[in-house]
Amino acid sequence: MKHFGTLLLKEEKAIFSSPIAYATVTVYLLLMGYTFTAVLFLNRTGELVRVFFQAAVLFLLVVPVVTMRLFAEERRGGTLELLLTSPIREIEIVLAKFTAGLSLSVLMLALTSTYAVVLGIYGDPDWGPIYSGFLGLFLLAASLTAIGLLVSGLTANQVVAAVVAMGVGILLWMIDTLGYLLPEPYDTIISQLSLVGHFTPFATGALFLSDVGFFLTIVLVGLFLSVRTLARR
Amino acid sequence: MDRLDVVNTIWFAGWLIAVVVLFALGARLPLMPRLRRFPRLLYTGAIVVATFGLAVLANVALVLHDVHFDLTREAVFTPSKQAETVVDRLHQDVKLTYFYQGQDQAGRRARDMVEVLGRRNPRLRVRTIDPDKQPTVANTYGVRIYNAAVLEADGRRIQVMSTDENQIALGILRLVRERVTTVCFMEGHDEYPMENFEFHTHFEGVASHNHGDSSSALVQMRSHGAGRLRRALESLGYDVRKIIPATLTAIPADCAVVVDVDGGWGGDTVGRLKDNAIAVLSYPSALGLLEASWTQIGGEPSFAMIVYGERGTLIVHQPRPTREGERAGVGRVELITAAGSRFVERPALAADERDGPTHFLSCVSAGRDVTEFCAADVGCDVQETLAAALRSAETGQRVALPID
Repeated sequence: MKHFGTLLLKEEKAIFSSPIAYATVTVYLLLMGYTFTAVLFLNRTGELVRVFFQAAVLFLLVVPVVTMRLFAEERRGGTLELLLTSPIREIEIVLAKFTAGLSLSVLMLALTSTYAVVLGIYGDPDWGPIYSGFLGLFLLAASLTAIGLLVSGLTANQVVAAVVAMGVGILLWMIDTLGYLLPEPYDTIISQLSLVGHFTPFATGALFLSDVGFFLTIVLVGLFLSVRTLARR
Repeated sequence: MDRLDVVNTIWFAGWLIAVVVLFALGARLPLMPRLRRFPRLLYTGAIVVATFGLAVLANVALVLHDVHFDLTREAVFTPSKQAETVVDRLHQDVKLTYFYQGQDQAGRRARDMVEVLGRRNPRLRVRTIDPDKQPTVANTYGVRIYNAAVLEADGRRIQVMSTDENQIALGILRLVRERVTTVCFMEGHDEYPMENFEFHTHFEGVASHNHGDSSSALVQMRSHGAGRLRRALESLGYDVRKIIPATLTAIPADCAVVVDVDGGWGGDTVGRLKDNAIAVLSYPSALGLLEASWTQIGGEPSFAMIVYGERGTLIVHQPRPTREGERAGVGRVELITAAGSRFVERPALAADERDGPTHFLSCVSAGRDVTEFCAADVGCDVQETLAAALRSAETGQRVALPID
């Protein structure tokens, strides 16, 4: 993994030199700030459950915009072939792009944590669900980044990559509603794929290790299959 | 954390190491970019299928050894120990569908609680539904109320109306039990009915009224105890049904316990029973039950008289005066045959006649002939029947009519 640091720095520079990152973070913070204020003044309770759900839905839309260029741009510009012919392992390339894509989500999460600080200063919030909510958002962002990275590796068109990744994310988010229409045992199988079903316990403070495992599995499968997409040269 | 949670947490750590090692090994698999199109597709396809298969197996393994951490300050997502024990000991599949009201805090809590319970044991399959958002699903189950759990197992189905996980867990126990114990409540003889509306509270406020106010549960109303006892027994897993001894020849064999809820008329039960009498009238092709009771003031037997015949049943319903001076009329007579049930119209009393005695006195004072049900021959029959009943009670022997 000796090249990982160099690759990560290159990807970070690529992301943060693009106006997409700043526009994305700005829009995210504007919407989140509105949600936090509205929820706080309406409910007057020291909790962030609704804020977490709002952030999760925004991640479904924002993360694919960040990940769309990770492989698609290199494939379109022909630089991917150069990268793959260099003495760098494919897994290093994938991990560097994944970490860079996730770093923007982590930045957004870090800025979102100011809401928790505000609650802590002016109130006495229940910190357990707040910690688990941020953990859930981090895992969700990581899963969406892995999915976005995989889709980006399958196409040379950034818009296609963004739209498909968004579609997959939204479908997985609300797939449990489809479960109600299916007979047993398919309803359970489909419901188990639901992102919202696995995210809700984090947001409310009822943490299950199987939910942590679910998101980690998506990340690892997404990264592994992203490596396999590099076979398409 | 109990011992099982510690073991499962260690299991999770092992699981995590295993999947990371698998990932690292998988990443070393050659990409084979120079393979021809079909072999490459086959190679990649096999790897993709194996990846998803391993991912599913890994998640199933984790779900079977799941650990729950309730991070809330008030431990709002921690079910009671009793409910957890019931779910942990489940050895057969149970489907729990909970219909909650999204606007109701207790309903939302119950939803979260059953979902937490559902993840403790794969045999308990939980589905939560907001009927306002999914009315079709609610209609499919025939559920038109909020905060109700429908429990299904082996073709059996019961409904538990509660937001308390303990009640739902007891419902599960009731569903999966192998032996049914029936508790029978006696009724029809001044006993308080077990199906009273003790759960239906009505609170009249200045601006409006409401039903089901939780504070009203503290209000003890006369006769509420019977309903509460029934609900308590049901929640403990007993089958409960009512029996009307006046219409039975013996206590049904399935009644493990017979409950006689004192109607509280005023006298003690034993004393009151001494004042009561049941005459069994045998006809060539019918059997009649005639009950006399002091308790006809206030509560009363369900029927004044009932005759079971070969071709049907004849029931004389009690006239039901509820206030002093109120017009009682005559008891309605119902005839039940294979063709159905119908009421036999009887001669109406005059407007100033309340009942039989006032009709008799009215006839005497007006100089009219006493006819109908107060006629002399009817009176003789009644007196003779009563005399026979008394003689039978004294001797313990059957008495034939007419009396010698």
